[in-house]
Amino acid sequence: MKHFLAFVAVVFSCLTVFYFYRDDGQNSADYTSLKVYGSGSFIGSWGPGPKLKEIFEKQTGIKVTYLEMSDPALVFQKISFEGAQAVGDVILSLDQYDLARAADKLTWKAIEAKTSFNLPDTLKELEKMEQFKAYDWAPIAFVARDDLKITIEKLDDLLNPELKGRIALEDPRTSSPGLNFLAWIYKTKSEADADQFVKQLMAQAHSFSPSWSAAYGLFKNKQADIVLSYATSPVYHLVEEKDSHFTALEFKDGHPVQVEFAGVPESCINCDAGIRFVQFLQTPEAQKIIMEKNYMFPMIKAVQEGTAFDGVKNFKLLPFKLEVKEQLQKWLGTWTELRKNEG
Amino acid sequence: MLQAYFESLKYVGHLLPISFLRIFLGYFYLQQAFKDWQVHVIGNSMVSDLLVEALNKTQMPFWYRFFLTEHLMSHWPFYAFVLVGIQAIIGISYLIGYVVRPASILGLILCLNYLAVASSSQEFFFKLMIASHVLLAWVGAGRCLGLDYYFYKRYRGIWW
Repeated sequence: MKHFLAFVAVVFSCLTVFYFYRDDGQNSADYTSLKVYGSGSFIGSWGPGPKLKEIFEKQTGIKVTYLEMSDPALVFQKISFEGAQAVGDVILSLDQYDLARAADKLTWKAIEAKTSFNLPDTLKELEKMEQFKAYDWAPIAFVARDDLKITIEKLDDLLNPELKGRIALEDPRTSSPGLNFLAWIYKTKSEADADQFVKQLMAQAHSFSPSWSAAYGLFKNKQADIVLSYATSPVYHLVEEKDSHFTALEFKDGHPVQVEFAGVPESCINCDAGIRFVQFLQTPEAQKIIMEKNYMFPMIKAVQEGTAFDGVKNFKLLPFKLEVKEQLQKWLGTWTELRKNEG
Repeated sequence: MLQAYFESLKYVGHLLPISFLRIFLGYFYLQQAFKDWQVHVIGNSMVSDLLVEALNKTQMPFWYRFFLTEHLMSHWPFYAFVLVGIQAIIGISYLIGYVVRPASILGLILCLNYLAVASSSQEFFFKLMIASHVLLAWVGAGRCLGLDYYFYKRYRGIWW
């Protein structure tokens, strides 16, 4: 036991020495670098993050450091706990549901828009938002292979008996497209009809995957005939795999959109640089990179001209608006209850 | 000491697979200590993600929640330092096979804490870690490919 106590004392002594002799530059607020929170898919080597970082650093001389986040709500909470000592200057990869459910945990800087967009009328709301700036978007749609024999043109067509067990869906409690789909159902049907529809869909779905990638994997492995995804997903197959056999199914009543936002919390250290970074995301140069890596539509329509995105059919869109938190919770509560009964 | 280190293979060679597990866990803990040092001790991060997640957990004894919110969060830099120290102790101990049994008990206590704060998706991982610490303590995993063999030969006792 004496050996162990001596060992503990040695380790802590060494750590104390390291602590006091560490580089003090890291301890003070650093105004020449920018700490940016983003999802793994954005900041990973396959995402747009590294290229955007390179260009932004070259243009401004400000060093960008990415911090990976798995759940924006946790990051909001963390920054709120950390208060003045929080390290994040910019938060990326926020969707409309993150904003509706958790963004009020923090206060945010207003960001002046430097770029004007030519968005569809249904998305005009995005241009009015002052604290969060959208950097990409895509309609939510079901994706199928072009040999699918069944016609699917509206939500009710998903209940076709031939599709039983062949639809890959996402769990709305853990996946943003899944929640978008749930909101789609409740916004286009009466409450009783929506409840009934969700109940029937439980039996119809192959599974409710925890994430978009898991659901898409089922579809890719041909375990499902259709998958809840984005209207831009076939572009990925076309560009990366040179495969044109995937198609996004058009629903005549319209599609909801998924939008990704960036924001600068009030607790930022290098706030001006944070705002510049968000504004940079909306420039044509950055928009092109985001479009090509995220496979989402750019905010600037002109950026997609002459690319594979030009071939994506313009779907009728449902008007974009931020949902009310309580409403989302109610829908999720109903879904959970129906799922429990189903199980 | 070096001779005893390799001699252990001859006499307690049947523990070799468990020693590999020990060395892997040592590497894991050292890596974790280094990461947490960068983020929480010198990186100015006030609270860990795990702690934020823990506060959202509904099933937690009142006294433990009180400890988290009133003590741990308000003195996070100190606790982060202690946490990194504990991880470093376990990491070094497992890597070189020195005082593995007491280090395993420390690891067990650490994992029980993590289990209390972890989300349900992480619970299985921490249960597995607890089982590994118990196993290492039980067999005295430092006696094979570790310095504990040298001390065990000279001093005997349950701590080697």
